[in-house]
Amino acid sequence: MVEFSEKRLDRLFHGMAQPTRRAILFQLSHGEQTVGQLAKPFDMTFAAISKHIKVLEAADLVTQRQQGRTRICRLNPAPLAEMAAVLEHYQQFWTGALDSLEGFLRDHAPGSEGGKP
Amino acid sequence: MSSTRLAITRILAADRETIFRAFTDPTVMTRWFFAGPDWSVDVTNDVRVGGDYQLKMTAPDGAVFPTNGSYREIDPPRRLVFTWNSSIAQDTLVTVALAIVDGGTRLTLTHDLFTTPDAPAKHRVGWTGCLDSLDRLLTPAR
Repeated sequence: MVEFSEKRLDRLFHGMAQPTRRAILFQLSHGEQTVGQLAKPFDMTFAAISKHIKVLEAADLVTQRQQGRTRICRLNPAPLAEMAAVLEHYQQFWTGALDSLEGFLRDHAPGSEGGKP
Repeated sequence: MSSTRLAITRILAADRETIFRAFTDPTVMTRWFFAGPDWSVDVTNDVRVGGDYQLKMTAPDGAVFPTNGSYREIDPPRRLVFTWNSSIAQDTLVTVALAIVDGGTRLTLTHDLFTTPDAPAKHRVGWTGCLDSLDRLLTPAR
């Protein structure tokens, strides 16, 4: 089985496990934005959005840089690959498990020739 | 944005009751609930909403992979929802949906990396909303 850095994944999942933060990531997937631009579609204060961005920064999903008086945010897609690896892992696990289930059902079908193995 | 959910669909030559039982009866689960041939699994479960389950899957090389969670929805023979915690992913959610089709049952399994909020979590969201409003009141408009 694949091994993952658990703490890193925890931060990553924590970063993603909130609708506003997922929406922020989605917005950033179209390109860089200032904190003000990110705050606009949400009925939220600049401070509340900044908090969400900090969580995303801790999860390594967003980087920020200062440009004059504004802060510009950018999506860092690399950790999302790690999440994709978790899904891939479970894709393999469930495929294997459902294969086993199919085999079990076949062996135990009413009137199956083999009967119980 | 990458997806955070996987979905697998299979048509199985059995009725929904049999498959539902295969997912919930520990004596049946021990026969198949693992990643591949030559694996084995120990199952303990308390099949009621809020009840817990534990799976201890053992690989052919002896490595043990514990998984646990609790049942969120139990609607035989249609739907089973349970949380899933393992060493690689905490608080994920598995949904098994069973539908009658020609030749048996269509099984749709989804594994969500994010659990939908349950009642206590909703409560927390409510509180967060309140605190956000307070935050808004206290923060001068920009």
